[in-house]
Amino acid sequence: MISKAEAAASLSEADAVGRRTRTAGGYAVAGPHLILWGAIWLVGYTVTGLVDPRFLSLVWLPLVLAGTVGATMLGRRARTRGVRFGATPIRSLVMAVSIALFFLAVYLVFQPATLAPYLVFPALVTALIYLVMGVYGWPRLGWIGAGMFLVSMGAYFFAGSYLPFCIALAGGGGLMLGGTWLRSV
Amino acid sequence: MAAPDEIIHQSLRLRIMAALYAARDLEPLDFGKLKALLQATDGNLGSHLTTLENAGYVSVEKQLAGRKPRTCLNITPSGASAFRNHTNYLREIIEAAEPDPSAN
Repeated sequence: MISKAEAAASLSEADAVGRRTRTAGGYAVAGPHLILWGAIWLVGYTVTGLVDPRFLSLVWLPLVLAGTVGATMLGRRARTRGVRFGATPIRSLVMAVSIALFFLAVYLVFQPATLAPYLVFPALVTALIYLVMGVYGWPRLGWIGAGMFLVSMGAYFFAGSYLPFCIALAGGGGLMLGGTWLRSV
Repeated sequence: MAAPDEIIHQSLRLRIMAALYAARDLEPLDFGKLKALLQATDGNLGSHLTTLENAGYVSVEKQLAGRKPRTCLNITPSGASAFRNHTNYLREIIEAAEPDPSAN
């Protein structure tokens, strides 16, 4: 007969291993998505810094579309490898449209007078999402979010006309490095 | 009361089963990942995996990832059921030993 203390220790050990496994598995699924969106972010913001602001929708719409298609393909690949959670194509589409509508609504309500808030706000929201995920058991995402937040705010105050390129590096580079870090678990 | 499973009860085998049970909805674990997760040695992990495989609790599949051989590990349905029964048994021991707060 096992004692209560032994049973509790065994159960806690099993729970800890289960939690670690699920976290590592989640990281392996999330990593390629971060790399994909990081690349899109890097290209989008770099081009944003180079073109007339009137043409920004022509830059971002195809990029967001490409990202949604890419994310769907990554989800499909993960499912063929046995992963039975994550976004379906419909969910990815609904998520992309919801995110786009959210940003449009915020800009419509606040109507920033300069381009800088338009550029830095998505980086701050992304950083916040990662920070929250970090608090809820994904510590690596939390660190990525904290890094993005600090660099974005620093760039907002100090980068001047180089802001789009700084956000490109902070957001895009951060996501790509973060994705690579997650995959290395 | 659920019964203890003598095969799973051993500490490393319980942790192997916990990892493989948690990985059911994920990409299958390979030997290297499992070793890293459990911080076990090759020899120790290999011998306990063989015991679990012989009991029908774990399936071991050799695959090629590119040119590299990869040993994929999965928990079998009977392994998942045995793991659930064993953890239920552990929970019952803990609960049976706790005093009933409504007794007074």
